[in-house]
Amino acid sequence: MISLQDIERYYQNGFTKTYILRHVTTEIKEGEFVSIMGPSGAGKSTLLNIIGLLDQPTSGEYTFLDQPVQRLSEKKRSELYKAYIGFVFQAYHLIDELTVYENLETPLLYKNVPSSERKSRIADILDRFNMVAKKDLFPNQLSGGQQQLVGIARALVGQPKIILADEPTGNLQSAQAEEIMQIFKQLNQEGITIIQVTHSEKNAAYGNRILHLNDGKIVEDLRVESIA
Amino acid sequence: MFGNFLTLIFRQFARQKVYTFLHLAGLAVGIAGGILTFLFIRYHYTTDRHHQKFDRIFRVVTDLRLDDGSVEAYPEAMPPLAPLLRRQFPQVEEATFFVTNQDVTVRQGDRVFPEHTGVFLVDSSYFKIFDYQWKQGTPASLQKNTAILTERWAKKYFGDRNPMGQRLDIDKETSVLVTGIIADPPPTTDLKAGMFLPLDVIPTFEKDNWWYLNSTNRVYATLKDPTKEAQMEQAMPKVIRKALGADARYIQLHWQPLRDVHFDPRTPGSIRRMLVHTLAWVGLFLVLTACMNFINLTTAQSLRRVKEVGIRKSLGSSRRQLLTQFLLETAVLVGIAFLLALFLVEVLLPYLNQWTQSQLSWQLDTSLTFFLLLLAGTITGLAGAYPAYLQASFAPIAALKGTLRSHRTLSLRQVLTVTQFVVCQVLITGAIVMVCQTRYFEQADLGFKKDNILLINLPEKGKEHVVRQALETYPEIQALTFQFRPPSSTKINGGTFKFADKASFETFALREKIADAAFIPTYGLQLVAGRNIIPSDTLREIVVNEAFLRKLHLKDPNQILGRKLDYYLAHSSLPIVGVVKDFHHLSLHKAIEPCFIGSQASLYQQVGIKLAVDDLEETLPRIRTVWEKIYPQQPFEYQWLDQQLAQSYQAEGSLANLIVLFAGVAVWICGLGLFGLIRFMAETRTKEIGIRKVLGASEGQILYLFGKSFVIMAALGFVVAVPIATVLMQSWLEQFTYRISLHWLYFGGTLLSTLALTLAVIAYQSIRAARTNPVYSLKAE
Repeated sequence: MISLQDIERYYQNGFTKTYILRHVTTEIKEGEFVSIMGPSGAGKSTLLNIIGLLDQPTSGEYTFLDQPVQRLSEKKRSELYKAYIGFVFQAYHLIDELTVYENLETPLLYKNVPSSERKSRIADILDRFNMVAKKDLFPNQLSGGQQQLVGIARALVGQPKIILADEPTGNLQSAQAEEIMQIFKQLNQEGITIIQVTHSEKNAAYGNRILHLNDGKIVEDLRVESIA
Repeated sequence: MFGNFLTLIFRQFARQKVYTFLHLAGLAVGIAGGILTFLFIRYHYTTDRHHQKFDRIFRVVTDLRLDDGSVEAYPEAMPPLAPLLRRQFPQVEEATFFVTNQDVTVRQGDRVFPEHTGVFLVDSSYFKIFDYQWKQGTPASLQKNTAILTERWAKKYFGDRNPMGQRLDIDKETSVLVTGIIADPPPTTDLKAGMFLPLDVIPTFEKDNWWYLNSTNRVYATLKDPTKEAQMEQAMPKVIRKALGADARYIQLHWQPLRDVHFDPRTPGSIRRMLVHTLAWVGLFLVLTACMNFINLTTAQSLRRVKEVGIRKSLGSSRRQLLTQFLLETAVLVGIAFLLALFLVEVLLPYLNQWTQSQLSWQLDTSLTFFLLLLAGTITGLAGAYPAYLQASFAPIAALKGTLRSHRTLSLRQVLTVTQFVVCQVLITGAIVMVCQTRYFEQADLGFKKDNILLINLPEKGKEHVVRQALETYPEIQALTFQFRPPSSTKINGGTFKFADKASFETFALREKIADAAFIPTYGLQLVAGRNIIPSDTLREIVVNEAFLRKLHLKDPNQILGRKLDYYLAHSSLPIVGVVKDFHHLSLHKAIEPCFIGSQASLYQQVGIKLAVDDLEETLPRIRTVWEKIYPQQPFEYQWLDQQLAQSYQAEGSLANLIVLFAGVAVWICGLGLFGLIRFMAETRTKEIGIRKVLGASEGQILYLFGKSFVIMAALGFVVAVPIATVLMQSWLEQFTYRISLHWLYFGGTLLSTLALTLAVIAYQSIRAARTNPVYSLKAE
């Protein structure tokens, strides 16, 4: 599904190059639950953003669903993104001025999903996350855990093949964090590929593979038995 | 998607009440300014355009070329020209001679209407050139002893009665029958007629006299092909030579297209094209300032929107979609601002018309509709495009991380703010200069006393002695004089003269002030040599002014005393018996020319009465009683001299008022912009202020922190504004012979008021910020 060949990302600063990612080569198959770990500044988020098509590598080959990403037009990339990728952020990143319902609707609007289908998809997802009663509330009326649930619901409503999560539980208390991780686990079992960036060994344990990053290089690629 | 955007937009407005208000208040006022400017320009550019033959109509005007090389431009031409043009030139489709604003006294029953403007004397050819909407009758209805009235005038004379077939008395001599009614012409016309009478209503009218030149005469013609204008112009000298012989060198006729008539200074009520264009620029700048404000406020706030942009991009929004969203947001704001602006214009237009003495109309036609759409589109584009582009192009990652700091926009913001200051300060300087010049006009020393002087028109001649005897018994009447016109008037008669001991005429013209011997003492004119004229009913001797001496290069006024000159008004030579100090015999637009004062009772048109200061209001009814006893059933028409003089400066006064208004609008927009920027600065820097306060900064120091850059920008704006304002105002002032000179104080006033405004806004905002307890502002982070 995802194939990274010698991916590099650096900033040219005068004569010096500051490397964020160096010689990253790996492959991620459909249905995997990958955790990217490593100390601050190791390049975890950059890698995630490159995988998620929000950022581009300086060099190297990235193939996503058999498509050579760098050689695609901006428009094509955006279509790919809209069709297959859902993002979940540490700080939830809901639009403050929109209600829960409207936040969930936004990605569907960008995908030009017709109105009736939008309604049914949102109804389904609200139902699934037990948030029907909260659909007309604004983000600031929800707790952090609830906001992140909306964030995940929003990523899911577009029916992506892969969910990318950047420290999704970083701002949450442990009980809420566990709930979120359970949801990811369940989604993975339903066939959605998940890649998360995390600091927490405990969260990483929900997945079945851990990529350890240090100084922009993959230093370890572990297959793990996921906790159930 | 649209619906989603709209919901978001309105919620955004509701959340950011203050900024939305700032946006709207600035835009609405700017747009209203733009619309008013447009109405002003439309008013002047559509003048007389309602005539179908507009493009083919021409006015023939006269230049009087004097021997000393000076040229006087008049709007009139002579009566025999029109039939000659019709007869001799196949290019001419129609030509007409008519008289505008004939002075007549109209009587209807026992009511008396002195009419000084609006009575036109025409023949049927007039209606073949100019279009009127005939309600009753036809152009052929104008016959001997008939009258055509506009609806408004018909109502004035006859109320709701049917005016057709009714009679009006003109000047006691003629009785006319109303045979036609036309719709009121639009206000956009220089031919402001209310009643048409046949030309032969004036008994003294000489239709074949080539010297019958009077400032109310007009000759207009239509050409079959308007490109033949130059041909006609070239044919004129020959026409004049044939008619006037050797005297033809004094007269030059010019053809001018109707489209230029309204902008030609010889037309009463005209406006210079340059001025209309300047005002158009001012209007444009107002709209631009409002746009700049919008851009400033939006880009300043865009940091707030960064997160939203990041999220939307990560949800799959394309840049185009974001652009659409932000542009839509601007469009909605502009739309609301437009509604507000239209409301403002609707409410303010009557006041504005009164204040600037214009008749701007707010009538929706294609040009206005087109303009409004264009304006809305342009503003949305101008104000919306850059911020939308800027916001839509935030890189999503950086946007989400909040690491975005837009230094580029800061400098753009500074440029825009400085530009706003420039526009603002140019307008303020303009307003100050114009107001000062207008006040100078009103207060300048004219060389005579103009206060407490009552002017009453004489309804008929020959009763001057009775009036004098009756009025002189009142102690509150200090002096009175019979005169043709007051010492200073908008019009002045004159002619060429020669010294009795010389063979040839002098090359310069002499102006006349016809009045009795009481004229000089009544108006406090100062004799510098010789004596006043002795009372006489005919022109026997004269007093000249200093300008007369200057023209002759005489230093000592006594040198002129006793010299005699021949003048067309008198049969015998007139000795010069005195010299008065120069006084302004025309408005301050014009230079003082050689002039004489002499008596000629047959020419007196009014009495000037100098009243004691105390009881002006009580004296007036008493004079009226006396008057009505002497002149029963005649109009009692009076005017205060100072008010009459002030009317000469109406055009400048209106313009000054308009510029003051525009300056006010600019200051308002600028002020709002500053308010928004500084408020935003205060909001984003609460933490910094908190830290500084904890470290011991005083309120004054925080004020300095905020104010410094804005004061520098204001000063920078001033530096740019000064030369622009100097050039503009210098060129405006140059049209007046008597004018103020640009004093540094005008600029000082501008700088001071701008700084005061800036500091007031800064002080309000930063004291608000500085007073916030640092505990709260720091806790949040």
